[in-house]
Amino acid sequence: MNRWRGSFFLVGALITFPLLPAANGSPTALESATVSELKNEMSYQAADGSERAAKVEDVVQGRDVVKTGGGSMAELEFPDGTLTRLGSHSAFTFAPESREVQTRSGLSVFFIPKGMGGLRIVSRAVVGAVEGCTVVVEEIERPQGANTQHWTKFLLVEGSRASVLLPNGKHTSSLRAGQGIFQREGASTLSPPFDFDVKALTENATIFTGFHRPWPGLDDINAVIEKQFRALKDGRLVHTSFYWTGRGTQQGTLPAQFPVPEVPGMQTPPYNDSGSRDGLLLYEFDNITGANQPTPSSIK
Amino acid sequence: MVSRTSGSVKLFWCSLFVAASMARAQEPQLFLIDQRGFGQLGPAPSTQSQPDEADYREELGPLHPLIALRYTPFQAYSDTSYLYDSNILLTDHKPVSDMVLDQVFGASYSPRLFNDLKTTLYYQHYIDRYDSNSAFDFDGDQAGVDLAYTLVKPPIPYHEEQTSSAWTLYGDGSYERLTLTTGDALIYGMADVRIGLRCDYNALLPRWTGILKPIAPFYGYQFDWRVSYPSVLTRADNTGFLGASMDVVRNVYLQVLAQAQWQDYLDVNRSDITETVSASLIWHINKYASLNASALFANNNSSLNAFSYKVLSAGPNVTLQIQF
Repeated sequence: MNRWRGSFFLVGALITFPLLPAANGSPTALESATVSELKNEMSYQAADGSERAAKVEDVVQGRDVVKTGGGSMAELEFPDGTLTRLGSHSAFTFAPESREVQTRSGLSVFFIPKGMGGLRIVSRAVVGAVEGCTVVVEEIERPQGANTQHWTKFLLVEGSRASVLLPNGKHTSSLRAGQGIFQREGASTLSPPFDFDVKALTENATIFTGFHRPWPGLDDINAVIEKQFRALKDGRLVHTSFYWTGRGTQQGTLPAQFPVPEVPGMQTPPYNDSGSRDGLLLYEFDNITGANQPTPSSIK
Repeated sequence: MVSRTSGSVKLFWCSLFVAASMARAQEPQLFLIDQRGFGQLGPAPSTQSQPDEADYREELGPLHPLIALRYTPFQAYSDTSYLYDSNILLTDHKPVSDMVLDQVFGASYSPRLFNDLKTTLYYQHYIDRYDSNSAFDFDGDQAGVDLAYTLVKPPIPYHEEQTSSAWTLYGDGSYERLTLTTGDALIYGMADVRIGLRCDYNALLPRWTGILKPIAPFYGYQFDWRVSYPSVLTRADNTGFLGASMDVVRNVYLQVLAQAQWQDYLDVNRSDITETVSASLIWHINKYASLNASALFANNNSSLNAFSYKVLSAGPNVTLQIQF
């Protein structure tokens, strides 16, 4: 009996052991990615500087810089199930010997499956360490006199494991689902995370809905949306009166709509009984994001 | 004899002033509701466009920050006004103008009892002092409970279908007393029971630049039953109101209000109709302080000619508040 039991454990161990590295999150390098869907124009630039147009089912090697043109989008799939979608005028690359990607410009969306060792996302302004989640990274360029100022939106759409830090390794901050950070390149401190409306960001976004393959994290995104809706419904969360569209450079405001009754006992924001929606919410948001450095709200 | 005459004038004036101050005091009630902007995403973004802006907009939705609210049921506040009053005696016969300092100290508690029902218990003490007519100075105390229930809720942006309006049913029960500054003698007392219905909706106001400016109009009806001391001032008020608020520049907004009120005095044969228009320009300095410049004009037509009057009141106001 004991012998049978011992053999059983031995066979079980032999079967499961090869799977453990992945299940334990041991990194498997991102050696290559396959172009699984393409809209309009995409190219990749090899390490030797040569640039070629890409087509579906092309295999992109690490260190190749993947670029999309205007009005273009692309989807790339890594062997471990990691999925990347690029928006128009976007570029990214990845390191074959590690699980690291670099977003250089434009819009990149990542789905990182659980148990595959996570992903390190190096953007211009922050570095993110993520696993089992959907992440949106947008690189924004703002002309600032003769120079160009870079900002990065790093948004955790769903998932529970994400942290961001400055490129110099300082000032780590954790994100929960529905939280993001809007960081200026070169800032000495990390902006505090803020909550954002996941439904607003994703519902009609072609980067999520404009491909044949449904986004793998869709169910989890819907769960976050439902959770946020409940918090909005009972007044624990409220929308700011402003929002950003485009590449974060266009700022819109909610119109002076009919009011919402105060939630019993909830904090009355300073804008509540006055109707000054925009400015004070920006003021609030400045406080949230830290007023000691230029904040996203100062982008106009 | 002089003092008796003076006392009569005081009572006469105070009763009338109270009538006017009641009308003024209705404004906070009318504005009790949160004016926070919600609803459809209307206006075009205000910054420069980019060559393929449309691509960017479609590929990812708006990034709309959310703010978590803390549970802070207690509020303490101070409200200081220094107003020009064109007719402090509220009579068209030889109107007297003066400057009045109106100081209010108050505290409120808003327990979370039921969803969608806003409940606020409050107490406030006020001090009114005249520059040139100090004989009319008085102090006051008021305590009461405010209730507001949302019948039709405004939609949550992105998550709910748009509705064209929001409706709120509100009520208030309060007791107020005014006393002389010397001797604490009661000159006026009133128990007020109020119920009202208010509708808020959306509108866009064309501007000379061609851009539509969003505004938040509202209108409603309010009934007050005011049992007073002296009893000749007991009355029932029916008020219709119409107003709007809009942002002017960052942190500054404008509110305008017009109302018509029919006052039916229950113990005497008298009824008044008061039309009031007011405008306030409010600058929110921060969450603790705001500065306000306001003007109010009221025209009262009474069935007893002696009580008909016109009055203009205008001046600055500073509000300080803390919530915890």
